[in-house]
Amino acid sequence: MRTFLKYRHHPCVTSPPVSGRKLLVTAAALALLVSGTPSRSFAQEQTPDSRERKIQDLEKSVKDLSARVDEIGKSRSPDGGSWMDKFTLGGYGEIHANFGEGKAPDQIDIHRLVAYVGYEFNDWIRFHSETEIEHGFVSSESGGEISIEQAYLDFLLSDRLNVRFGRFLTPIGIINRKHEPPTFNGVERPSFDRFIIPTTWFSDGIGIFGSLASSLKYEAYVAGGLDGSKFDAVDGIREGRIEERPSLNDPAFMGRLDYYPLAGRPAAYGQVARVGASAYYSGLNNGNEGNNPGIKGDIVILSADAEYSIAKFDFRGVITHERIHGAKELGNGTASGIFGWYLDGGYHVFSDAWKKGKLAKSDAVVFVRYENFDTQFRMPDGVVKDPAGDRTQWTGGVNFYLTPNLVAKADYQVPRDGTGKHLPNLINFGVGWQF
Amino acid sequence: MKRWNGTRITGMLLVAILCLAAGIAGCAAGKAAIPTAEELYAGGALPMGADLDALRRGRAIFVTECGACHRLFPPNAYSPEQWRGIVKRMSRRASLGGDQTADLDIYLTVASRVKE
Repeated sequence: MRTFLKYRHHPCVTSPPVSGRKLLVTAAALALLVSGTPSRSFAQEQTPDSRERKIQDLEKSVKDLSARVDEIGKSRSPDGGSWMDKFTLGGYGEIHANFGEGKAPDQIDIHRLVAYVGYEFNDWIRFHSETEIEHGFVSSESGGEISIEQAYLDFLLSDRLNVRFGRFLTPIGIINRKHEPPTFNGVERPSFDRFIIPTTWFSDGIGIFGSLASSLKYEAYVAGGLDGSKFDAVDGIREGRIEERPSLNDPAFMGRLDYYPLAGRPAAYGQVARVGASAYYSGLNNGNEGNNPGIKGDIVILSADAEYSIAKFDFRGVITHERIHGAKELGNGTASGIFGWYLDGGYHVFSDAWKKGKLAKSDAVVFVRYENFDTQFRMPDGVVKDPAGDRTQWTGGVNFYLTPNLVAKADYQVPRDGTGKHLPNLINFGVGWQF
Repeated sequence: MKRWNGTRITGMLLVAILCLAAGIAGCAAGKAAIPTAEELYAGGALPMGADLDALRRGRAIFVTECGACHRLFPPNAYSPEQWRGIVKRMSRRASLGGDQTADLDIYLTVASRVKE
């Protein structure tokens, strides 16, 4: 009884612990025992019929109690554990060392440190969140920032239809949705994923997601849109993201489809394939805290991406086109068309013979990536193109996985742009993890 | 026309090289396969509840849901007991429903016993 009371009065526990089942059944059995062994005088007063009725009543009580205990058990976490089991903790992070050719600055950078917290309210309502600190220090004078990258509720209704509400990752491209360091090649994310798809790009709103078939998934959302007054010639749409309190004046509509052609078929050599397509439309008259810039225009983004693995090779690529209506009025050298793509290929060089002892789960991937993107791809009449927006970048290097979720990286980058000036090549080293 | 000269042609060459590499890779072995439901079913010795449909659903969830967020690890890289803990933890993060989690658990339990 003491145990029961202790849990009952715990502020975080609203139902008795699992041992409550035993307790209630024991109580019922005791009640049965007490009722079944009445005082001699009481027993002498009872007829066989009334005793039978009494037993039936007590049996019913025991059944009711058992049903109630089962109900309590089902309302708890599925595994019957404590309320703490409903939390899921995790995170990822990456520390980089960047060395530039010539006079370019060298630095060490705690680039990202992210904490994930999830909570399972019941078997169909889940909460997910990611909070990020960038560049290790946050002040009004530093480049560091702290932000909530994700904070959303999933309402799981069926395999086909589920509802998501809150702040979620904008479903475009590969890196924006899958950016934990062990999941991509190279120390830094592709530059394409900075200037064309501005990762990490989140949206605040509501939508649906699910599987239309075992190999076909979808997502569709309506959310706060972009601020077109912050677009510019070289950074493209990047500064147009509203990361604090986005306006809902000109909302955004977005969605994607992912098809896995080999999900249900025999595939030799460990083949895995995915092909995805996404679309995004947003009005541009949005600002922080509802302070809209008073501009006219909209943006349409169409993107396709694919990932394919066969034997020891991994390939992935993305191609994206952005069409901005009203670009001339936005100013800042904003283009009416932005275009880019990249391809990335990796080969797993770590021999199975080396996978022993502490290196049993280790792996190593050498890779090469080519990016080609232009934030000044198509210009409005009368607006001069800035050649600095037309860029390419080669990156080659190695990822060494000490364990599947901890990776050491090294790479060499050769960036070029349309100005004809020599841009410093870069050597990068990094360590990344997720858990 | 100028737009497609120079570096863009280099990019096209890269595409060609990658396609060639994929072709060569098709002739190479060395990466653990993700067994199909039919292969596992034909192998027999299935646990309770592991019918062919459950294995098919489980494999599809493995490929589409697990692969959506990270690299796919070969099922035989972990024991059935290890997978049970991984599935329990990760199904919450992936917002999998109870039936999906059960199918994934069944598939990985059976597939983890397949030797290369």
